[in-house]
Amino acid sequence: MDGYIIETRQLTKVYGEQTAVNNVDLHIKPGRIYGLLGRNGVGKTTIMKMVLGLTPITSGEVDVFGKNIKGCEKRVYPRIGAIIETPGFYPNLTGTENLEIFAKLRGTTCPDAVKNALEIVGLPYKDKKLFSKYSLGMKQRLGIANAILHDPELLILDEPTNGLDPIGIAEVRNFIKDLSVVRGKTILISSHILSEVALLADDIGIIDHGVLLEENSLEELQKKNNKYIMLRVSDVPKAALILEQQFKLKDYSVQDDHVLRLYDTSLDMAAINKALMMQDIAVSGAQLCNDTLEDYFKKITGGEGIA
Amino acid sequence: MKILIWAERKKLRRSKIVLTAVFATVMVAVIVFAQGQFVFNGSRYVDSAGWFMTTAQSLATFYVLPAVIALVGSYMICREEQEDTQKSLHMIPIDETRLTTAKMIVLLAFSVLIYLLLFVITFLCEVVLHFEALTAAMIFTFFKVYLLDGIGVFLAVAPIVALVAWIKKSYWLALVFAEIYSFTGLFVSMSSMLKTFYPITAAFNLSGYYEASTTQIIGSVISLILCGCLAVAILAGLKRRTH
Ligand SMILES: Nc1ncnc2c1ncn2[C@@H]1O[C@H](COP(=O)(O)OP(=O)(O)OP(=O)(O)O)[C@@H](O)[C@H]1O
Ligand SMILES: [Mg+2]
Repeated sequence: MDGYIIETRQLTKVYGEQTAVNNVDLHIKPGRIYGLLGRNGVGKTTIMKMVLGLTPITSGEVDVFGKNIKGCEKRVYPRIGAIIETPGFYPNLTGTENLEIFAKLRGTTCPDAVKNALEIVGLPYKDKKLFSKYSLGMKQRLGIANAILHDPELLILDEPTNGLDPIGIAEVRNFIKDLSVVRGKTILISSHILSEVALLADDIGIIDHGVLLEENSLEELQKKNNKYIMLRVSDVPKAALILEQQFKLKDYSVQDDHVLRLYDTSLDMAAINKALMMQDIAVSGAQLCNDTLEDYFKKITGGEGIA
Repeated sequence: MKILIWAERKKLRRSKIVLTAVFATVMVAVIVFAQGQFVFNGSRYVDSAGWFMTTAQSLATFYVLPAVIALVGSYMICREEQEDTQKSLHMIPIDETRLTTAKMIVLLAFSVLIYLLLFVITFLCEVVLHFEALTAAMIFTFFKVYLLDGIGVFLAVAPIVALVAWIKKSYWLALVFAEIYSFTGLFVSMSSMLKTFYPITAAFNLSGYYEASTTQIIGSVISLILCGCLAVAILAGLKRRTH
């Protein structure tokens, strides 16, 4: 068993002329928070809808809990809690009444399910306020409450912090983290806010124009964005050899024909410079660089950047 | 199924459309009562026992209640999409056929209740006006008329409810369609052949408001059942389209 909660293979969605999702392979591991990161309109919601069987898949496959979702959506729904975009509720009812209806329809047995869910998202229980009078943030919170009502193993949350104030965002972040760490839930979350995802996710998938550009754990991604020294030389293989032999340097990477990255920033650059010159390697530049995650995303999304 | 019906009932709480429907029913009673003040052959219409109860249900059926019932029905069906609760229901998962069935059952109950509300209002007026003239048999006959009107009108408007759910425009369309549909009943009722089969007037044949032969009643019942089947067919097609 490969142990993924959600796995997609060559997942593709075409709307008319436009390919909204293009051959996406996602791998979501149990008990982890997976952040799907991308700008507006790149296909995050579409991917989630396909994973949930809410919209037909053009081509490719989705496995949820190790089984192909096609045809057995109904069997896995009770194990999933989801919000897709901003979910609707009955406007003529209060938040509590709305959740009571959904809880009952779900066959939730726990009598305090509604109360607990509301407490988690910070909405008052048995409040008199009708849903039609809710603010955007309150609606979003109620949506999250509905998603966690039946204590599902897997949560799929499409921009859950949309419309929340900064304190609300922090609260939601904390309890999402809690659900994952304390209760071992697997969570797929989408966002266009890099800093949000960086604070929350264990694994990150970066998506742009329907294409999954990179999928990696946050640690790995952050490693790529440590400080480094960019060394511009005339002959990269030769320079690398010298670095390895004379300076016992292992932690470096070759960027292109003329650029090396040295990840140990405590190196004695003067000595390195001198050693390279001695071997007839021209050093045209050495520069301390400090990429943030943001710079990284900017680069891999082709300069457009992200939030 | 019980839970679905419970949920449908709960969803109608504080609903403006339901309140409007109840208000319309009360207004019908008031208007008919006002009309009853006209004098004919030296006495007011309302002075003859049973006039109010007879007229109220007939005018209500020609002018108001089918439209109101169709409106409530379409609203119940269309709202899941308009209020964007469809996704949440789908992911529970709720079977759409069962959901629609639950809605139709609640609509039937609503239709009957609206007619019974009209029955209670008119009955109380009759009691106040001429208590002595009322007999238990008469009351029972009226009760039967209102009850069967409620069921018959539900069947008559069911295809309109389904049709509006199919068109997926505003549920107010149901009000317009049903109004034209029931108003046409006034003209249809002039022909005894047509009035047997036209669903709105067929409801009268069924309820016993129209004096009808057994054959005519059977014809009317068949017509109403066909209405029900038509509604089921449209709703089934609707389900197939969304998949
Ligand atoms: N029903 C639809 N019909 C046609 N095109 C659609 C439809 N739904 C989405 N799209 C297109 O697919 C692309 C991806 O949309 P999607 O909603 O998945 O983006 P997103 O990443 O969720 O964006 P956002 O951050 O704004 O929520 C968009 O270009 C959108 O215009
Ligand atoms: Mg989206």
